[in-house]
Amino acid sequence: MIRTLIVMICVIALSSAALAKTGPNEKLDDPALEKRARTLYHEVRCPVCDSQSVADSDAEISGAIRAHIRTRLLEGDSDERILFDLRESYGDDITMTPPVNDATLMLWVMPFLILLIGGISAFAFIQRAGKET
Amino acid sequence: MVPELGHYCLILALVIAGVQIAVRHPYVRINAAYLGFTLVLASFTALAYSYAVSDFTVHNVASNSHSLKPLIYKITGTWGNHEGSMLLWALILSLFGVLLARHKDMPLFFKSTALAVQGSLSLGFLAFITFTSNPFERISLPPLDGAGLNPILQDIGLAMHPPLLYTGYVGFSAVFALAIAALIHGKMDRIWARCAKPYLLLAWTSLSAGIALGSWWAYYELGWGGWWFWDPVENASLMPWLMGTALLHSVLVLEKRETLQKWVALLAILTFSLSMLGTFLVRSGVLTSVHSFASDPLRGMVILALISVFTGGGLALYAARVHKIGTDAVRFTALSRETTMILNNLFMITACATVLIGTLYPLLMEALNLGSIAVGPPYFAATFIPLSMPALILMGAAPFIAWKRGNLDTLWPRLQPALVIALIGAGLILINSQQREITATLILFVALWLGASTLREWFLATDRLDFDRIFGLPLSHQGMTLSHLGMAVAVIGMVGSVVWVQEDIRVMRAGERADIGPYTITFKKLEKTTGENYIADTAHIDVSHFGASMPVASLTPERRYYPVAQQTTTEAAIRTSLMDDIYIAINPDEMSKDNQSWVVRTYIHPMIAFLWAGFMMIALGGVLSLMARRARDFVKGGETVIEGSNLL
Repeated sequence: MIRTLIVMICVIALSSAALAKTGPNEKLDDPALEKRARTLYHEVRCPVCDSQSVADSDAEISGAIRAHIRTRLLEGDSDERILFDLRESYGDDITMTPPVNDATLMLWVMPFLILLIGGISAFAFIQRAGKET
Repeated sequence: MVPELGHYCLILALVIAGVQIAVRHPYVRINAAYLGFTLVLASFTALAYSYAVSDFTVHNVASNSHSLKPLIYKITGTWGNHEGSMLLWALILSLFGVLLARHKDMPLFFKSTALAVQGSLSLGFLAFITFTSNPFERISLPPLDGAGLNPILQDIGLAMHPPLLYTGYVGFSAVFALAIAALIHGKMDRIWARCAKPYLLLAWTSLSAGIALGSWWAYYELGWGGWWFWDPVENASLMPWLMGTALLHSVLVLEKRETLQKWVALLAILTFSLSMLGTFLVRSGVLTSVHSFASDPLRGMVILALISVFTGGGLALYAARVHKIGTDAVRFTALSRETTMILNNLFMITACATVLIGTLYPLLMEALNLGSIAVGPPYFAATFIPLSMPALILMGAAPFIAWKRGNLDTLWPRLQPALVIALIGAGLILINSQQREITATLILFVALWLGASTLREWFLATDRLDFDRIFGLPLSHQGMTLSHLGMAVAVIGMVGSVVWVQEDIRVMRAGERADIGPYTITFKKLEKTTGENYIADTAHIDVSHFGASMPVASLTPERRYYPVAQQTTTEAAIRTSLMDDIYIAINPDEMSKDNQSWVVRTYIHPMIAFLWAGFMMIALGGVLSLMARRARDFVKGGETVIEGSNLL
């Protein structure tokens, strides 16, 4: 499955001449599918450029990934399934949203932890300042 | 000859920085600060001169400049590369040394210590430049022409971006030096706050303007209409801004109420650390890949060592001496200006920490071989936005709440009008929006609340727009109003441009027209044009309101080709109005058989003008507050005034 996916994307990448950003010929007829496709383009990171989504990227590989997403959508696959397969073949850094797993737990938890600890400290400070007044 | 002089001055400045630390005499340190600045300025001028005359025997000029560049971009190219930008860093660092040395209302022994700290920063960064990033290195066989001609970087917005950004970053060094001096002498009071405030305001204002300029450049130059990408390089500048904003407000509390000393000292150390971290992230190459950094680590390691020494040293000193500066004797109730400031600090610092975590986490995982992840906009949208909303809500209410002890009974009627306006506004938005965007409406509600309450506070402070009061209100108060209002305006622009953006991509030929949202565009013609160092395909596209025949604008987006650099760029054309920007970029149509058709990319960004106006207001508010000090010092003849400012 994964190997076919990679081969498929490579074939598309090689066969299509320089696809620029999301092109004018890349429109799906079904507006609902088109909307999902656009959301997915923005969620998938261009593998060869820094912090650009495939929606905004000029790279050929991005054009190939967009074409892949459209094909999969037309085949009736779910967004999650498409993203899952992309992660399987390119690694976790293919999506803009980091996955939630053991390694990224702290990434997701720390902001809340900091807010909590900071909040408790701030509360204590304000309480202390409020005494004897 | 000139490069050698520049190099000589650089080494001399390094020695002088050593003198500034080693000799404990205050006047020696003051004069060393002046001399050091003069030398770094001479060195910088020498490099700028080499750029201006395209002296390709200098390695740095040969690899980063080109004889065909317009003169202005030759000169601004001085800081468009690693070595030159670090020299600019050192120049601004020594400039702040001079400002500290010239500071009038500062006890001499205190100034002396602060100058020693500033000198050690200079020593560290000048040594970094001299030993790892010498910009004056010569080539024995100079090339016929330079190698640097990236046309995207030939832009005045981008050219002014680094000096502003660095003035922001490096300006925090003065506050850092003052905080270290306060820890050493065990004293941090409202006089300290008054000393630190001008540097803080100057740094914060420059950083705000620098970030805005960078964002604007990305918007009009990069060619796809975005203005913030949560890119690590952008995050690197946002972090010190967030912490600097928290610091600024804490220093205002310190000035007014002589409390929060420990917190202010900690923030002062951390803010400058984040500035150095930002420099490290951008300059070390660690962002491209941890592994590419590891293969040529010298520069990165030295900056990392500098950060460790200054941050670690600062924090160690803090741990040892913090008990000397805090009193905690000041009392205030839970409903008071102090509380709002503390809570806003909490949200801003958490937001800053979130950006830090999101930026460093992928690097950390890669370094530890835990796999690679990308932390993109969805992560920051999910964490940063919820954290900034309560901060914005508090920001609207805080100026109404009295110091020490607020009064709920008088507070409520003062807040009410703004709340009503915001509710009505949000209701109208919800009714009129087609998709019922709840999140966007909520954020706009908060922005409207902030804007309305800020205006209401100004309205009350000026005795209901009494003419004399409008001009009599202290500039610091005007500055606060303008900055807070700017934030509200900017948030409106952010939401509008992100949520209601319309995008259209289509193939067009001369003579064709298309309806896009509220506009009709007509592709009139395409012509070949030439510029100073490029040739271009220029499209002429008329924009008219939907259904109307009279065009409201004629746009000329270009596709430029720079033959020497062998590079093609897309120059978008933008028509700005208060309601929306219409943004058009063209690309050749690869599928075209006759080369007559073009891919026309149109974005309509509603209310993005609000974003730039808001950013400008935020920075101008800072300028007003800075002027307030000058004006008051002028009036009072420079004597020390303890009552504090009316900024809050």
